[in-house]
Amino acid sequence: MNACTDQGRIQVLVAGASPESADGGATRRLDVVEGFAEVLGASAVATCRYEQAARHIERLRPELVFVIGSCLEDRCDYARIRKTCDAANSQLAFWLENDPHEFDASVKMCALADFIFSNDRFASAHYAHPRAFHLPPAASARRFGQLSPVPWKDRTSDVFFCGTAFPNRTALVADLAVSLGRKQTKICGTGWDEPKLSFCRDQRIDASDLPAAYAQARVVLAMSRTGSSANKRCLLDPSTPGASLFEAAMAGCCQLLFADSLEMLDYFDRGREILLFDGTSDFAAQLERLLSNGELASSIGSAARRRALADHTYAARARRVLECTGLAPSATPRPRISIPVAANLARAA
Amino acid sequence: LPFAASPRFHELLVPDESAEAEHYLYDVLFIGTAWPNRVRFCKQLLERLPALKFKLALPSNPHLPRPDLDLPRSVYSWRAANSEVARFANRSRIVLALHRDFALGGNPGAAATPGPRLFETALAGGFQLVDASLPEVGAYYSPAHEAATFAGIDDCVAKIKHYLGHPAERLARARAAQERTRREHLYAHRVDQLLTVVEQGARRPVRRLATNDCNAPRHRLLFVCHNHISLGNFGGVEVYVDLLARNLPADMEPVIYFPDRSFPESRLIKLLDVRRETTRELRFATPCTHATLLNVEREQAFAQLLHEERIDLVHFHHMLGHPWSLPLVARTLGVPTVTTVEDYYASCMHLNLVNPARRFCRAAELPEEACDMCLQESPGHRYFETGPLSKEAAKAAVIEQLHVGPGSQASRRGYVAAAMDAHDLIIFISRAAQEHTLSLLPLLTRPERMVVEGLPVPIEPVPQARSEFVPPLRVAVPGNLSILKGGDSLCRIFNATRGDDITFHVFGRVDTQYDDMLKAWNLPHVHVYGGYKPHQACAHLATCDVSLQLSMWPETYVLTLSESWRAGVVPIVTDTGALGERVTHGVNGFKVPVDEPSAVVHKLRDILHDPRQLARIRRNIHDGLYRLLPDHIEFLTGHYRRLLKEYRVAERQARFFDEPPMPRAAGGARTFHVSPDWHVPNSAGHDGQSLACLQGMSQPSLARRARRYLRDHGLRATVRRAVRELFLRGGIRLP
Repeated sequence: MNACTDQGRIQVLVAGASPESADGGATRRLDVVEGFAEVLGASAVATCRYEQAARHIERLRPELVFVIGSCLEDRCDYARIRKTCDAANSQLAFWLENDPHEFDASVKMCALADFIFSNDRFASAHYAHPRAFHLPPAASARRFGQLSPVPWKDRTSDVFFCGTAFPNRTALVADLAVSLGRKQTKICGTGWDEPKLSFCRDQRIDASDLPAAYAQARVVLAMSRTGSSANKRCLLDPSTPGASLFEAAMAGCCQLLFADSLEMLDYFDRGREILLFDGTSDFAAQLERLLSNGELASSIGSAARRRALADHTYAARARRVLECTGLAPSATPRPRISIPVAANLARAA
Repeated sequence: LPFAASPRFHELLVPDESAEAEHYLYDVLFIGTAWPNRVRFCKQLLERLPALKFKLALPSNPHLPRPDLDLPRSVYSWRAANSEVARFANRSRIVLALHRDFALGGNPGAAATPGPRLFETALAGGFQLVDASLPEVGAYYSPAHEAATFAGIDDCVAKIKHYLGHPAERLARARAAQERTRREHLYAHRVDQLLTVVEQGARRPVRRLATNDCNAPRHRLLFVCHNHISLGNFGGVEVYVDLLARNLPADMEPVIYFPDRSFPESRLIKLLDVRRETTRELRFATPCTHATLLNVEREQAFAQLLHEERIDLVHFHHMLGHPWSLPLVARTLGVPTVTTVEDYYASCMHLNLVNPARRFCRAAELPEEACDMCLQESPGHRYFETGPLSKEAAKAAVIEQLHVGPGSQASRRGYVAAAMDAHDLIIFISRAAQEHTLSLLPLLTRPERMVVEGLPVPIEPVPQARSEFVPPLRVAVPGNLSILKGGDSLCRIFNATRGDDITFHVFGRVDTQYDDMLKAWNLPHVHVYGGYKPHQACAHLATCDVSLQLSMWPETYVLTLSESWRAGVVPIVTDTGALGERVTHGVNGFKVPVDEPSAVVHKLRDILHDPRQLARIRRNIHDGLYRLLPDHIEFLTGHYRRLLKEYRVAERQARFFDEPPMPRAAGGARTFHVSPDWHVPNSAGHDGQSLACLQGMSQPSLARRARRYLRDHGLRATVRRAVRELFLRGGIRLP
């Protein structure tokens, strides 16, 4: 993926936003590379870690430098990346994938980026930047889209959830404990050390094992998150669901999502591809219905998978990025001038 | 000015009646803070209408009683983005608008004007059932056609049942309310109203702020600096700031805010009014070192000071000894700020951009690892701490040396650039200083806020320059003889010209290493005069033919060059930084490469051989090559007055100063930076061995520190320092 195109120029360089020892974002970065490679061809895309970004920009002179990950770390010098981009005549874009929870870090790149993409729609409207766009999370077809469905009866868990134990999640799981405790439930991730809840494990699942773990679940519990590390300026609440919702869908899971945002309805059809619940009794009733009707649950999972593979791959996101940046093969080249804020607002709306 | 709705976040389609069943997810929605009256009302509704599908969000806060609802907490205790609240409203058949009846501190419990949710829900196409006790609702939406109102729980239950049974009526009202909102209740309408009022107000005469005892308004200026000449051991910046403070026009009243460096870690800050000769002291419990970016205690004290002293404008001259967040504090209080970049401290802790090998670092051309390694090898305490370190600071210094990890410089520059960007005006004292700074801080992106303006020399009578050359060639070496000023090259030049008809006259302090060298070499043609008063500079220089300014780092201005020109002396300078920029070779001076003493010797001999070139160069020296104090004052006050006008400082009402500022410390929220300092711990650092080493460390005794100082600085300097310390700690200011 590091070879140059026929024209001798890499089109997109995907770089990490912070040292990966801190960010742990190498997997996501490779997912993004996968998306661009599908759209532009593997030879048009290169990738590197944050530490190597300036050197790679200098050498490859890509048309677009696409920086992805958490920008929270004080030690990251995006000014240097900006300078190198200027020297290489490259456009610089950031995909902030932890909004709104790290929204305060936006001041670091607003003065530097040609384009900003935020994973969260509501947060994307708060950027003081004329070219800030919403780019929702996606799922990797390579990692999540190639699994054969596990037969219903062979699946090892009735309910599965993997993710950090943020306060809203622990509260919800505690309230659902009666229903969950009666089933084969597996809840894991950082911080799930709940002595009263035997089905919770403070245990991380490696990114490479996650697709298989999803495939083993009859129903996946989906919850948003609260708890921000840098969201004190505007105290924004999230609107867009997290990446795990798209990944579980692509893995063919039937998901039950707690409805604290309805933006999800823009990505999946309620009832056909995903189910919502609003309370404990509602959850218990829907769970019983799904577990007693494996065919229904499987059909919801399959429909979600088809939808994710059609609309929510990294290739789909890459196309959106290329459209916004004017680099799409059919797009009119975008002049390097500030566009009116109103135009951007209209686009965001 | 009531609230409104925004099409960007709230405008959604109202469904047709045929799609009603599929569109709606909920029968009744309420989203709002869990004020006790709302919780009671929702509880009654749930009991009275158990068959309906409710969606409730009643987020609470620690000041409110825990909601008493027969529901699991997670069901109602959640928050949603504002755009999603609109979407929930759009997907609910009935949206309740319940008033708030709760207040602390004796304030009224209920508001007369509805909150923003009423307008947002209307634009989202939600049908609203509004609590009739909200008195002004009727002014915005018609209870007959657009919203429906209820009075009490019974009425509410009845209306819910009615409207659920009459979807057409409900949808018609939702559409009508949405249309009314589009016509009258968008933020665009409110802005129109606001501008109209402001326009009308602008025609009325403005009441001017009554000022002390004088008819003309006086402006209080705060100069933030790292030192003051009253403390001794000062440089050009301190001289400049003092000169400025004493010579600004009478309507500008400057006070200088600087750390007393005899108190380590900037624990004592002084506020000096040089005209009235009054001093105020601020003591701090928390340290401020060269690594400090944020400090809540100092930020709050600074905000309080700006308020109490009624400061109208802050001019930051040097940030050494202050947290970098102070400009942001001034900005949050609406106080205009100016900064003068007098060295490279904004770009690097090593404010001369000189690396541990004592060479200009050329950081902009090097990979970022170079900066981190440099900081590791030459940590801050060696650079700045002149006084004895506290035990805490000594430990911090060792930790710093061990643990300035990768990314530390980037962390510093990222924050400093953000703080610098907050200034209304950045003054660079030369183009070279601007270029070097911007190459290292490319985040400074507002050229319209940057100007180049040199430092001034005072107008003092200047003796007549030597009109005719009479051997020997008299060469002035103005400024301190130090490594940064090209001490190595100068000593080699002195040594190489023993046999030439040249004498050297050193006006300034000689660093110990060169003092020893000069004594050991026995150079009779080198005369050392020591320090001089700033106003005597030109008189001293006028006794010479040539001056040498051989700095090995890219100086930002060099006042002695101005003084040399003003005294009619021909300068020979190194071709770097401001020196290289200001001198045109062969026209108004001569340039030589950095660290090339042979080139200087060659040029001096060339002048000896052909002294007519001195007269030729002198003819090209004029006042335009440097700045004189009156011109500079005019330039500066012009900018001050412009900013004071832009900020409408003179129009502030007296009540502006009645209320002290809210504590809005930049460090409190850690908004722009996670860590309060710029050190990024090395991931391999802080191991047990290092910490054990620190635990065992104790501060050297006074005798040991004195011995060390004696060894490094010689007897005279040690005695001088001891006397000064004794007086300073006794609270006596030396002349």
